[in-house]
Amino acid sequence: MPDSVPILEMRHVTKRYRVSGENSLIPRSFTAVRDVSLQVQRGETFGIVGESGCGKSTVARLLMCLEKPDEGEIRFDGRRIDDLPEGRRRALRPRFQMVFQDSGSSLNPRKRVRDILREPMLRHIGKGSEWVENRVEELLAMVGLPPEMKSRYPHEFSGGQRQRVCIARALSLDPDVVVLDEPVSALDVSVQASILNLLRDLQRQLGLTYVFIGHGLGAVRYVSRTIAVMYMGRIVELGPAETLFDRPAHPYTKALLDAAPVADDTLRGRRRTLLAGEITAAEEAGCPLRRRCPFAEEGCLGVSGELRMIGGRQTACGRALER
Amino acid sequence: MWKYILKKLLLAIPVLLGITVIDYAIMSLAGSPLDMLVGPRITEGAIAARAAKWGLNQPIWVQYWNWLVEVLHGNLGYSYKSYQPVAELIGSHVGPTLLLMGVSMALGLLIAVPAGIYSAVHRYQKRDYAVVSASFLFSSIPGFFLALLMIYLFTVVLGWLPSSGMITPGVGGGALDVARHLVMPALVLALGVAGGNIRYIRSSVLEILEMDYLRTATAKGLGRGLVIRRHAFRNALLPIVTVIGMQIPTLFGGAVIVEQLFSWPGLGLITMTAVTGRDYPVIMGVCLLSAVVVLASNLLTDILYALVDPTIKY
Amino acid sequence: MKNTKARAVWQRFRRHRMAVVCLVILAALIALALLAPLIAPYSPTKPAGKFSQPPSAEHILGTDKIGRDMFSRILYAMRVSLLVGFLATVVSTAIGVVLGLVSGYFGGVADRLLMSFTDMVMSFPYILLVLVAAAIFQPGMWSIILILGFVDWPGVARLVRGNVLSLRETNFIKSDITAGMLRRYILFSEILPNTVAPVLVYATSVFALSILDEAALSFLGMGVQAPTPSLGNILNGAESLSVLTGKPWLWVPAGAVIILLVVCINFVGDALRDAFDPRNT
Repeated sequence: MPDSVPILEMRHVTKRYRVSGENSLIPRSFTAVRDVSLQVQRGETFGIVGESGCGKSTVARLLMCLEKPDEGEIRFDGRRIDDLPEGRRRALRPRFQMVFQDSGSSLNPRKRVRDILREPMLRHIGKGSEWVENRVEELLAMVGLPPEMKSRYPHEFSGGQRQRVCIARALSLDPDVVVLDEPVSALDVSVQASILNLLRDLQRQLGLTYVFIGHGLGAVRYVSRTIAVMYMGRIVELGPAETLFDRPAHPYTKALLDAAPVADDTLRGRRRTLLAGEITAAEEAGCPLRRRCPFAEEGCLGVSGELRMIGGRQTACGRALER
Repeated sequence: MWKYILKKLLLAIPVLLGITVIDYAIMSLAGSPLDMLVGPRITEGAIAARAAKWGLNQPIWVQYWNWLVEVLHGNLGYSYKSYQPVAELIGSHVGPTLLLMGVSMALGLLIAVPAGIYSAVHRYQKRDYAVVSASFLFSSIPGFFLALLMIYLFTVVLGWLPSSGMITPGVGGGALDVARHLVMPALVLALGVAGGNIRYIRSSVLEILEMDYLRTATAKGLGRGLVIRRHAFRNALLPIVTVIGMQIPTLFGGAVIVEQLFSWPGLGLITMTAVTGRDYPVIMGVCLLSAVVVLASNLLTDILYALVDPTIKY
Repeated sequence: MKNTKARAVWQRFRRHRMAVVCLVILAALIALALLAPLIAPYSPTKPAGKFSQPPSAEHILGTDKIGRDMFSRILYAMRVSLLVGFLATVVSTAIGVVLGLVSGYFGGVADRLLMSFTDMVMSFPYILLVLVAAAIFQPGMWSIILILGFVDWPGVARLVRGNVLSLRETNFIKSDITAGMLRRYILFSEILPNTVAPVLVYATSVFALSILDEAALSFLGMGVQAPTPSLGNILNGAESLSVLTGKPWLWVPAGAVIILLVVCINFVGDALRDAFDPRNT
């Protein structure tokens, strides 16, 4: 069990969004994230996986305090940050940064790379503009881009290069934690590998902590030490990566694993756990996977969704282990 | 459906109240609104009593409330100049303005809709450019200049149409006489809004024509004319409804100038007279009325939308 | 360099030949207006000849009913009308941009209040508001500028607000927030520059409209007051039938100038809209 203060932590966080219908005067709400708790240890890579709409991007935004939780707490280095006024929180912000999925919209199209990288540094670091100029070139070199590119505009770069710029920006304030929301999902497969390698090298070099969010198990598996699996706003399984991958407990985790394409020919005819149908509207009672799960029984209606320790990891359901 | 209408109505009420507040605020800049409600034929004692009851020593929201209550009872004050009750003055002049606006709107649609469709269908050809240029021109001519030009042409040079009033004195009225007087003012108003409307209809029709479902219909073998008439037109109703809704405030504004120029005995004429004469009770009465009319027309447009556009959920 | 962006816009603009022609005409007219004190042969307010003379060698556009030179009057009138139109546009755009930024960025109660207020102001027919304001505050060039400015802002505010709302959700703004940039910076250094293009296009149509409105107001006697000439109040004289029929030089040129100005501004504005749109490569 980890005995140091987690660098980033969520405690029982719930986030709801108001969905207004044109025809009803009463606003309805949609629960994007439900009672989510997780702890990110210093220096590790914490992966979050789940299909589209499961709430992982909302988790990213909550961790970055781009949104306020309706219930629960967010803590950085032991200190609560979700209830801080933005003025006070601003001083802490350089320590936790983010890289978004869509690099195209992540950079102001009207500014040159040099300015995009410069401004936050000028704001937070008390050194002069000459120091900052040098640092800009240093950062670009660190992410594998020639320093001359600092005079270019974002649209003059390829997708992969743009993402490198975004990474450079995230690193410019010397953060402890970087939250990466599907950083490679929008890139060509060949480029994905190089970016992932870059991220790995940087982590080693700078001692960074990563929170890595993805929907495909492939990338997440490659980089993460701890993994949380999310489904419809809840964490369904959370634990060390190898434990989850070798012996998944929750049926959803197993289904995700089985669905991932595998290169090994000998595994061709293997028996896979498949989920029926597609994601449905939120279920209020019982396990949210109930209607699609091949292991479902009547008792699933009364399940609370709480995580229990089974076989070295937390999970809401252990059915997949039993088979 | 009714829930939708109800909801829209409910949402309109605060705006309506806000309008009365703004109206009241502007009037206060010109003088005391409560004073304006007081009639001319009143004794000194009664004035004093009223002042005490409503007076300026009351907090402003009480004054506002008293004023609002009076307004809702139909008391819009008395004209400074003629001592007539404003409500009466407005009532007697509403008719001609409604007539003028109605005919202008119809004329405007008659000009804009076919022109817009024609232009869209013949996109990028010379005819299209001609129509678009003409519409540009029309929206650039100041209304009063157009009126002057028309008077010059039709009254002075050709002698076909009368240039002032609603009926020829001595002839005693009659539909044809009124119609002759109506032609020029209505045309000026209609052409004034036609410019913008033609271009709006044109771009809406263009959007519709480019939609894939039309290409599918054409590919299915339906003749082009049929495609346009049957499919495009139904969807073109929506922008037409928008145009109708947008026109009402514009027409009202334009009517002020046009009625002045053509001495058309409508609201615009009394408004202009009131403005130049600083006859505030009349001015504010007209303002309030017109704001309410605009609000009502917006509401109507919203409801018409809901009827015409199947994608709006209600 | 920043020039590449500006140059691209100019390239696209140049493709609209009509608009380029209009731009030239506009520049010429503005130059004439600016240089009026130097070019005008006579004073616009003091009589210089016999009354109501048709155009002649000494008075290119004739004289008006108290003997003032029409050509000089028109030059000065252009000056006044352009000035009023321009300043009114500046005022209303400034107000609209600020309110739109605040409303769009801060959202919440402020936004809803502002938008309801905008709705209410927009419910009053435009002309009425302007006329009433002119009646309450004495008419004159400066009060007209302020009045038009204070009545025209809702359109700009709505436009800016819409832009801000969509920009607010983009990732680069979110990156600014996560980088701890100040709200002031985000509003003025990131959001505002991205709103400039549509606002500029809209401002050209406001400019055209302001010129028309000033002309209408002055024509009705509620705008620029005599003896200062404005394109509108010159046309005022044409209300009498004798002028209308017998003395076209007294009113036709003024009207023609208004039309020319407005048409040119509209064409330029239209072309600007296309030029700013990067999809039209």
